[in-house]
Amino acid sequence: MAESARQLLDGIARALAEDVSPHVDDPFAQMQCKAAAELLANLAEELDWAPAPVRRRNDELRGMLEALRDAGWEGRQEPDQSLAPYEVQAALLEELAEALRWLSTQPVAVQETIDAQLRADLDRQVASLRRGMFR
Amino acid sequence: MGDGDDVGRGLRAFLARELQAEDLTITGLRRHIEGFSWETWDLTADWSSNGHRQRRRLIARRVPQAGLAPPYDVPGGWELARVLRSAPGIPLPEPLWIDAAGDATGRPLFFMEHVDGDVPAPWNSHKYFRDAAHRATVGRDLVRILAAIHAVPLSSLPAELRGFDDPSPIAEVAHFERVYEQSRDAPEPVLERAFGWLAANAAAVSGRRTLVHGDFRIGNAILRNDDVVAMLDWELAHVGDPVEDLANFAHRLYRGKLGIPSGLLSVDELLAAYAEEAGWEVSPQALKFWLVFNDVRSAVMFHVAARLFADGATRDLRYAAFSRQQPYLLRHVMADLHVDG
Repeated sequence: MAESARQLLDGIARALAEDVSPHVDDPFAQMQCKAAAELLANLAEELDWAPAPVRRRNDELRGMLEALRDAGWEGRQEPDQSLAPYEVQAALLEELAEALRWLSTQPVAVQETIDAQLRADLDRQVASLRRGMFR
Repeated sequence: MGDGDDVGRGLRAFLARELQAEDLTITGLRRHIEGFSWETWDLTADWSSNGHRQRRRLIARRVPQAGLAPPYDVPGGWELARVLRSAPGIPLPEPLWIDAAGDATGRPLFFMEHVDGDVPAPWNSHKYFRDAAHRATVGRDLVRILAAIHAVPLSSLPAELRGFDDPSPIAEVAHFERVYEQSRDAPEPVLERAFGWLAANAAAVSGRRTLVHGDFRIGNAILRNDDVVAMLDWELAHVGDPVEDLANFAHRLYRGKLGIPSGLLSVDELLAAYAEEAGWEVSPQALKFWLVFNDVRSAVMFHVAARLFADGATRDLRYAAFSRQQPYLLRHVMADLHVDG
């Protein structure tokens, strides 16, 4: 997760500096592009220092796994807590993927209970987004 | 802007060879920026032929640097277009010349005629069309074209078309599940849930196998004087369940402000019109199955976009933005999982 976000910020920085800025005619606007590119590239290096959102997300994923266990899913052990938060998240997501495939073989009432959790999870994610062209 | 100059020189040289007109010039060269698939160039060519000046507006469709619906099979798409031009009731631009090897501009491309008209955006359909009757007329025309697409004999299609040799009724689901597995960083819970549901509900499909447009909707139609004069964007065409096209027409992304399929017809009107044109009725279960699939496919394409950007295959910042747009599409998946059907 952290690696993905770093790649994203690095890519945006490169695009702004190398593809957008050279085609901006106004000198002030061009400098703004370059400054934004530099800032994004530097922010990318700080991502590992901000694990709080990853931990919060991990708690939400644990909540969904708990509901699946209540419904009969025989899950794995909790990931090793000495792992970095995004490594814990990767393990939680892998287990959740298996559990959600299993869910389709369960009675409709069980599916509806878990689907309600998935919808609530999506609502939380949407609420955290500032804008979206596909909203 | 240098890329445009290089492409322009390559396109001019290619056309001069094809038309045997060394005096050929091109003007108005413009790359369309909308869309995330084929690279589309619009231009006007002028040349001499038998002592007369000729002028024609053309469209070049070039394999993109990083498109969302690979593979971009230029010879296959070209062959399909030629087959469909001779099929009744399917309007599409005439395919003109092909550069299958990519000699002209470094990537394969083909030229087709430019078709004048409007491409209504689904979110503007409430303004574009005069009234409900106008919407219903155009919606009905589109359904008639869709039935004609589904009536094309499979034996006439290029054998390279995806699904041509695969009798599985859910081959297209398997295809996009593979794309998902290859493009994702980590499992996406809603997509895992949806792929599980699609596997468990595969019996809901119609059991029919036809040519499927793959992205049939108002935004891929050219309208002129109230008539549908061309259907565009065939890169997702394959052989599969025809109900998939109806579900794409009814995709939540394309319902516009009126909240109805492609901003034109209600779901009931769409199904009734299709039953009349195609001669068979679509079950609500089959429609629901393919609605979920189309939601999933859109979300998978967003994964592909994010992957292409992260891997450096494109620097188009819109692809980067897609990586944070996923939750909106995933809400469509969850909504369609729980529609009646």
